Amino acid sequence: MEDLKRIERSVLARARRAKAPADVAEIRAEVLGKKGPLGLALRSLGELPAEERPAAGQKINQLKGKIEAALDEAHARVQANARADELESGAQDVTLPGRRVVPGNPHPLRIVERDIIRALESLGFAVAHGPQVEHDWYNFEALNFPPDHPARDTQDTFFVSDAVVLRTHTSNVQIRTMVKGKPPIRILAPGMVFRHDEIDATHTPCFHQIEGLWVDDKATFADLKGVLHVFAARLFGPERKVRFRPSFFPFTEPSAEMDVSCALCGGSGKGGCRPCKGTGWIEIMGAGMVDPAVFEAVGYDPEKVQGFAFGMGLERIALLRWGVDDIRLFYENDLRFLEQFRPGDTR
Amino acid sequence: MQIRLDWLADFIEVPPLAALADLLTRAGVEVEAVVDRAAALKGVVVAEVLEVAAHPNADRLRVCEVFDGSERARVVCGAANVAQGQKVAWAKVGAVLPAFAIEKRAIRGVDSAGMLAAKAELGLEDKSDGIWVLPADAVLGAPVVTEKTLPPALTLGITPNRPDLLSHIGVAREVAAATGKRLLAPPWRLTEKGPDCSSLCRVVIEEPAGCRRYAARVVRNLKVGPSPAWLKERLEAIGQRSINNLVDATNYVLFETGQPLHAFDLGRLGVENKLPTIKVRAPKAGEKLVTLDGVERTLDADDLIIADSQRPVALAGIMGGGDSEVSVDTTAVLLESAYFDPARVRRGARRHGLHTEASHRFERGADPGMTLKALDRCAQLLAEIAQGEVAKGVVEVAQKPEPPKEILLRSARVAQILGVKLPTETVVQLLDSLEIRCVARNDNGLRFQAPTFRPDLTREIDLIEEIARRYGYDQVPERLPDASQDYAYVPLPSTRRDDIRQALLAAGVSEVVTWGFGSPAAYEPYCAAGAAPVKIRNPLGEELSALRTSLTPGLLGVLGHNQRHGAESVRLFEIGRTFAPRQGAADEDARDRDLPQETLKVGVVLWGGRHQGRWYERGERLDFSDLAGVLENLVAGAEVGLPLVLQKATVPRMHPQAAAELKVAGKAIGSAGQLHPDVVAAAGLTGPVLSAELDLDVLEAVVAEAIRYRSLPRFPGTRRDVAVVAPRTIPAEELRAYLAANAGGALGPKVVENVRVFDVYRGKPIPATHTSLAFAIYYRLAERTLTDVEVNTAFDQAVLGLQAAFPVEVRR
Repeated sequence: MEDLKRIERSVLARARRAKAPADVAEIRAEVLGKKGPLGLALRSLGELPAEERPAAGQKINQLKGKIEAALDEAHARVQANARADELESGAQDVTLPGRRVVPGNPHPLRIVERDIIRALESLGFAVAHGPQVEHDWYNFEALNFPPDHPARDTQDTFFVSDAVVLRTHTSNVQIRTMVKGKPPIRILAPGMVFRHDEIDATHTPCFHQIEGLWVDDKATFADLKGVLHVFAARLFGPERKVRFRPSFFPFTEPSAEMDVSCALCGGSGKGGCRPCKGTGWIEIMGAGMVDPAVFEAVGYDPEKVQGFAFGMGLERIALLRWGVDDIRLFYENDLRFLEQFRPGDTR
Repeated sequence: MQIRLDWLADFIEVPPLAALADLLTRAGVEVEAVVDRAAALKGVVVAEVLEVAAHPNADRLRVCEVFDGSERARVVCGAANVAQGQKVAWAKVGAVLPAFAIEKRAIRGVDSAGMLAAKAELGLEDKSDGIWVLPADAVLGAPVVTEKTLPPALTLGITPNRPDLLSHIGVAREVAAATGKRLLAPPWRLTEKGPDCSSLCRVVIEEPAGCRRYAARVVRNLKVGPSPAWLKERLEAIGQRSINNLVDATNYVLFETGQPLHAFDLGRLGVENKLPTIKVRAPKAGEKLVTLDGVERTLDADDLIIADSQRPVALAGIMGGGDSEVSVDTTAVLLESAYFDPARVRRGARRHGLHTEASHRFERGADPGMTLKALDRCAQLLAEIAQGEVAKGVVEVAQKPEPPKEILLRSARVAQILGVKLPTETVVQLLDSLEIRCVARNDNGLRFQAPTFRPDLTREIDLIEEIARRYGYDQVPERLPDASQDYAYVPLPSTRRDDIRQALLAAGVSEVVTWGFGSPAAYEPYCAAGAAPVKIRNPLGEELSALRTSLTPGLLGVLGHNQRHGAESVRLFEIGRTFAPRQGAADEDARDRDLPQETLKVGVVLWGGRHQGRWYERGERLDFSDLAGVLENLVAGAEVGLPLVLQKATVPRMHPQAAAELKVAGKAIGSAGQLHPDVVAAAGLTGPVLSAELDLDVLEAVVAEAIRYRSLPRFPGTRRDVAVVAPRTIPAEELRAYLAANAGGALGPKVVENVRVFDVYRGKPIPATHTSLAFAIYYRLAERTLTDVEVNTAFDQAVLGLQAAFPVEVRR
């Protein structure tokens, strides 16, 4: 039984020294396994005289219980230590920018285009496209710009040939859509257009428009006003007032310009307000009822169909919205400019 | 068009400036600017120069003591003509001159309380010689310019449909319509004297299609000299130069009545049938005319000219000729007032690159009702300001006037278009205020006659616009139209283009927008073989003369801009059209046949640090795989249901070992690669630059494969890995595809669920010519669990097969 004492001392000492759950498991397997010292001791009981056996067996079992308790305790201790270490070493710098693909910057003109489309889509408009290099008939004649008419002066034109021009507006899409389809028609036509303008802070020879066309058998000027007011409220805010004033476009009659009240001076125009030049109003777009001559050109009966059209320059809306002071910035595409339209993402 | 308020007041009671501007705006006359010089110059007052002393520090400057009746101050003046006792224009501190505001400041060490102004500095003339010396009776302290001496003017933007508004009388009519005030009739009285006009000149119209009406008067014994001050001032106030009383009179009447007039020196007109003769005709072959601007013009058969008995003397309605120009020696003139055909004048003006006040009005349509009135007015002015004698009567050649056109207005139509029902009486009144008279009423509706000065009114819709304009656009109610039925049974339009845009933005690529045209030299390398870019006939310059054939040159330009401005990582895309010449089909609509081919493209350019210099970048640079990843996400974002396939290829202007053709659903959609170093260098860029261009028209047209659900696997799968060292010339995809087809061995490819490249390694100890590639093969059967033995047998076979099929070595 001297042996049992020695086993007890050595095992308990090893358990105290254990550093990791694996150490404890190793001891457990070694000491308590069939071939371990306690197993051997139990097997050697048979060599004892019968009367000594129960007492010896009891002693071995007591020792086994003691060792198991010690190992359980050691296990709990190393486990707790290990968890503490894990927590200690797992410190993270939560202020570091995240590891990610940093999203690209949308172009401000596309943001404006998207917002305009969103504002109008739910009213029943769908996006349509047409050629950018266009036959004179689609760009001018069908839109009631006769040859040799001064209205053509308002749209300085790039020519590819006598009959082929770079479209001066997106209105060619009106004509193409009407020629191909039949009412009801409600389209939005965004895209690049071209005018023979010298380049400066407010003019570029390529720019963008978006145009709307609504044709059915009953749309009136009152409907036009309603649709454009909803549009303005959605795009600029419900507090902005709108104003319609007469104007002239060959392809609409009556024709109108829509102004919204100036955001800076609240429409008062006081103090020499710059954006509205002191008028309290900012010109946003041209609009009007589709001219009967246009319907005739596309083969519609102007007595049976009617509708309205409107159009605006994306650059102008973008300039106003963000206070950009030079239109050329939109085409220079300096990343330091583009990044400004997705603010708060500089980490 | 400049309108001076006092001039306007000759014809109508003028409301206060702000009210007038508002009234015109609401009538559709755009007020571009309000020019109120008197208000702007109110800080410039009359002062007396009490003393002039030398400047202590400058020879050319004087120090003047000035007094404006209440305040005495010292002002430094640099003008040579300043003298004691003069009344001068003192721009006091706080005054705002056209070019600058006056502040108190020291000039060469002497404080100056403002300045003594020259007329030019006040914007009253182009160039001044010294300061403005005022009359001795000028009142001290009074503003030098008042609303009376310099009335305000409006700059109006007149739309091309309203030639009638290109005159003071026309604007007065519009004001009258809005205010309800009556037009005033100025007391013009024409006194005729001497012989009949018809005994002094003759007029022949040989080209009646170009000239419906030609009227002439003769004014004799006139004295050419400077215009009276009032006339000079009025013309100058609307931006016109005063020449002499004769020229000024015709100009004045043009801006007053809108009718362009021309004065020929009667003595210089060639004689036929014993009389100086005017012929309105087409030019004869080879005829030339030197116009007033000194340019010799070869006349076109379509030009409309005024000729005398022999030679052309004017481009009708556009510009006079030098030979018959009035001069200081002129004593008798033939005054022309005519109606020339708008289209004919416009064609001529464009042909000769001329745009004059006269052609501007004739092109838009002169008022046939004004021809004689304006002629009389001009003759009367000449009598008044040039002491001319107006010969009796008018020589007039005119076609029978067209009977005034009647326009039918159906009252239901007004409500149908405007969305507001107006009583008939209101409609009649609104139109009557614009001198559009109701001449008949019946069951069909109302018949109206438009005045002669409104050539734009010919149709019912024109009247409806006038009704709306006078009723007030703001008075028309707002309503929302009903569209609920229209799209109910129609599929929504494709959003693929926007989805692609979003996928690219999410992949870290920024969108740019560039112009659709540029330099032909930049596009030529990006044309189909044998083709050239479509050219613009009248470009802004050679550098902007070709339609783009590719988005890449524009993107590289933007990349270069950003590289030069310090960017460390640039990822760009553009979605836009490219253009190529196209041979239209014979049976194609004539309006489409000549149009170039337009293709919607998306271009991508990447360069620089992989993670925009963020902490996890660790020096990694963007490479082809980043580009491939962006493009894979692009195609995934398009939701075509099929993967992007990249195939190694030789692509012009790309690195020979780093370029690919792109395919989706078996269709070629573009190419991608690392730009050839020569191309990068030629473009002045820093490389390596990755670039791709895809055809979105093709991608948008790919029909998405319908998605069918597959049940989830019920039996476990297993994975085997194999690593090989392969020559770099063998694309990984070839090895992967081999394994996908053969890894099943005797069991067939159906047991191979997937094969994925999971490691790529280049570097020691692998030779520089080789790459280590590791593949994971996923085995699984839908019906049962595969045994280890089955899988191992198949795998071992496949590895042996791989080695047999390719010059690769398996790493153990």
